[in-house]
Amino acid sequence: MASKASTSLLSPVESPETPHHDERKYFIQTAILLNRSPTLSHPPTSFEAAYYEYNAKIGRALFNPFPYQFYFKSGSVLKSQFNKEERLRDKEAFNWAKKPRRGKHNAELKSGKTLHPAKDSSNEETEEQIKAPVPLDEPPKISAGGSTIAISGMMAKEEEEEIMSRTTDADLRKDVKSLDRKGHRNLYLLIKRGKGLPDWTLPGAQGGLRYGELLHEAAERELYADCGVNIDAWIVGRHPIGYMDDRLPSTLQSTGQYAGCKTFFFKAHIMAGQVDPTTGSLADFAWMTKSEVRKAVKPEYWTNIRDIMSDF
Amino acid sequence: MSFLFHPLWRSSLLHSFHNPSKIITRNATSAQKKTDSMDPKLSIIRRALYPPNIKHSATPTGSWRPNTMRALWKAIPDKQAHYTIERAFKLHLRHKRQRREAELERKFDSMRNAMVELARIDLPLAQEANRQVDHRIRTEAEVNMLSTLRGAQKTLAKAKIEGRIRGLFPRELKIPTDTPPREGWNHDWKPPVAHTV
Repeated sequence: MASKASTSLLSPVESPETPHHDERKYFIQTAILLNRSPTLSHPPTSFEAAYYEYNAKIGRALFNPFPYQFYFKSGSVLKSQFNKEERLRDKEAFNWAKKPRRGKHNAELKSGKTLHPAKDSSNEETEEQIKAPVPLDEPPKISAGGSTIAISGMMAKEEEEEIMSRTTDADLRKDVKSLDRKGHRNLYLLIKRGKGLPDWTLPGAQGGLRYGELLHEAAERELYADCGVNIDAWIVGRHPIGYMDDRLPSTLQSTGQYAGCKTFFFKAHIMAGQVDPTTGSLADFAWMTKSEVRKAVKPEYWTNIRDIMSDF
Repeated sequence: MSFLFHPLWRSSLLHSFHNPSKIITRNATSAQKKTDSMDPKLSIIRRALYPPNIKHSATPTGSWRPNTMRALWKAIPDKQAHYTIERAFKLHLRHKRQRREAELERKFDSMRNAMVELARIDLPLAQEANRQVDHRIRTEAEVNMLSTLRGAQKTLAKAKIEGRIRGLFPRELKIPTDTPPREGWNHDWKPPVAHTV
């Protein structure tokens, strides 16, 4: 690993690994990896969710009592509602065996009031307050450690805020053109050109560099030429993120001036907008996750692009 | 959750169980006198910070859930099982970290190989890619473009230049949230200033 430590992106030419300069002429072009970063937090695995629930129960047993008097006005409806729900959550967490209470205390309990407000079993909630995101495949369920849906029900009534589902409409329709699909994953743009080979490829790689143009400038030009101007995109820096040995464009294949063709990939982020297929005369486009890209592209193409994409 | 270091656990080794008679309480009447003359808001804050019944423990506010030990034993299966769960989770986190770091290493290697290859076939392009630009100053192209514009167009062009600063992440690149926005992704976005190549 010592050689890796000595090399850096900033000085590849000084590195000891650089082979001698290749005198042959290569046709250089740029392609874009247009990425929609995750909009939703990563869902916990079933093990993680179980662990958080386990710790929530321990916290409920150990933590200092919730200072309900500080947050709720004495005698208010909200306070009694909170206490009721809190007792429910406590019962759910620990499965207390029902002990029959005798005498006048019974009536007060039934009405919802508590005899000893200071001894009310309302403990501070920390992990439960943070709503654990539900995995996409499973339907939402009430956790034994503390029902977050109870909180959201009460609070939602108060604030009248609609909490959107993590599974969007686009997920249900499996609309690969929508950028609302798979919010927790990274989506990458793949396009299909109408002419010649109808393969799924990354956008760009059409025509190479203009005279005096730099690599990242060519990347930006190709991005908007293929995807249209109705995208709020940002190309990350001046460095390419990968390269592949490509086929020369058909017009240049006959001339002997180029020894080969190299396509350099550039990373770009999309923040808003949608691809306009008419600008680049695209037959089709799709936003896919890394695993979906693997299934769609040709195997030789996949070996070139798999290391520049994120698994999540 | 290292609850085994919790003072309550430790104190339980000394006192066999929580006996209400062993709870040390403040003098009720003096407390009552104090709160009567005080602003109710202040008394509420005081009660939240210093609960009326305090135990002999390291924590100043004390944990006085009366059935803590019972609740705890209901929460955890047993000591061995608890430690096993903790170790399993730490192992899971380590695997996650290793996968993430391996992916980063693959990405970095891909970048490095691309730069090495670029330097091999076209050195000037590679040197330009490596150039450290001062992003605080406007480029010649931007200055020339602004000099040709007037009024509202000029303001819009300036806003466009200052809204997207080279070398910095754009502020539109949002941090992931737990639930999606109500309107979802803005598929109908149009550039405020006409895009020029």
